[in-house]
Amino acid sequence: MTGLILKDLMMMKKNALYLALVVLFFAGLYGAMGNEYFISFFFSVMVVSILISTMSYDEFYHWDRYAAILPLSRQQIVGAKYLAALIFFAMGGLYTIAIDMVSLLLRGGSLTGESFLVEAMGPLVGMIGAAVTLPCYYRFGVQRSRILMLAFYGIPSLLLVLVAKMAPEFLEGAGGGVHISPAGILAVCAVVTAAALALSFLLSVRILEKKEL
Amino acid sequence: MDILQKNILEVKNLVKDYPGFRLNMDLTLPAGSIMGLVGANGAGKSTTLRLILGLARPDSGSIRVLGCDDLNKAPALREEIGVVFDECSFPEMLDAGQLGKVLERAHPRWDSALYGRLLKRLELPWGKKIKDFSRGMKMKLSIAAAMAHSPRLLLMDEPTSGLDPMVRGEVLELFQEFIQDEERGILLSSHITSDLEKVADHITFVDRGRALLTEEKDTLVEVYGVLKGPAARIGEVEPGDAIGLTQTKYGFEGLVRDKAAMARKYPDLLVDRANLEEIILYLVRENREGSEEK
Repeated sequence: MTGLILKDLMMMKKNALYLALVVLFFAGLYGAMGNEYFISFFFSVMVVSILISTMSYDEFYHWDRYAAILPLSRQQIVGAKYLAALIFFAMGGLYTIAIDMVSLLLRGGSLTGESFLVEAMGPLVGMIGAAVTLPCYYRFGVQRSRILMLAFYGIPSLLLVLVAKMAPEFLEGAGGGVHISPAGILAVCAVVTAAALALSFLLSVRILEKKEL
Repeated sequence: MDILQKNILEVKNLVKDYPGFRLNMDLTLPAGSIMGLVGANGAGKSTTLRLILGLARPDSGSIRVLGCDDLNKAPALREEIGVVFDECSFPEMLDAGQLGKVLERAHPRWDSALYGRLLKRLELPWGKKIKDFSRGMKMKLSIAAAMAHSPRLLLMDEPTSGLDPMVRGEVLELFQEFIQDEERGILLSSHITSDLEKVADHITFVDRGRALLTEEKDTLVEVYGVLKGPAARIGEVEPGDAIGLTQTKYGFEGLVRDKAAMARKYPDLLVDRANLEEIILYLVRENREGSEEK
């Protein structure tokens, strides 16, 4: 199983280095504009796209068929892909949080619970994106999963922009006066993400077990 | 050891239906032997291999690999099986050394030293990206990867295609060494009948999803022959004696099943040795003509 994870990490090494440089560039740019939090979300989209790239290569080289002849169960094959995704998010998440925090401190800002919450939300949203994308890849292939990923990020973003433009008071009152601490929000989001990943994993295993390769 | 244990692969009444195609296969691979699966494109060779590997589900029939009825329920047994697909399945941004590191972590019995020796013997560079390999080099890499964990059964789909004659000879030698201990076996599909004539102990002809014939190779070349004669004497050949009897302006020829008997029966006609390619061509032609008549 570690072999499959290593394969994904090796395949993505070059892309990850480019991504690290891009994130650094945008962190500088947006940091100067006082909006470094954008990077966290931008990064999460990029990590999912890297994940899709590994799936695209897998499909192109018929790697899934090859993996299925290794002495591994289908559950282990799927598990390796999810673990590789989590490693991407963990490594990248720590990287973006670190450079965003440095950017914030350089501008004289201070770390608050809210700023950390916003930073952590990027990787969590990305992981939910991965949870949606991976079963779709195993069921329909990489092209459709790419479209689904675009829809996953694009539709909510579009709705938010529309609502913000047309009915800003709705967003302002969205909390309904209820106050939850940043740690509480983070905990709830982490649980929701973990549940989404677990369900997604089970679904992917089920799909791959039934699939003819 | 009873007779069943000597067979490392048994496929019985295997049926798989696809729209417009039905596979109906029987074959048995004894330990210590190489079986060549021969047939035209789309005959069902790759489908047979996929079914054996558990990559597709049969509609009926049984497949017994190394004593196991369902590989998907015993993934650890896959360590005993080496596979070469008809195209390279490895991510091409890796090099052979990196691929070794990946597979080392996937195969409990991976032997890095053996992998290194195989790469050297097959003249494959350690650090060159797979994307820069020729088709033949990729195939050799697939073969090295399939053998480096010392499996008991090798399943290969067109492993010698794309290889030049020199390398083909080297690869065929590897295959023969592989089965020397009489405990292991190879099932390989190939279009290159001359390769099979060199290494295969058994031949299975597949056409339109059906195994037309499974026979020891030596028996095939001993028993089958090509009956030839001048065109004017084609009428002397009794119906049923020759398969696919064809006439040209130079003469006639057809495949005969009992070379020695036919030589006695037609002493004035020529009965030549039939090579595998000729046997396949005639049998396939007979099968197709038979199917069309039905």
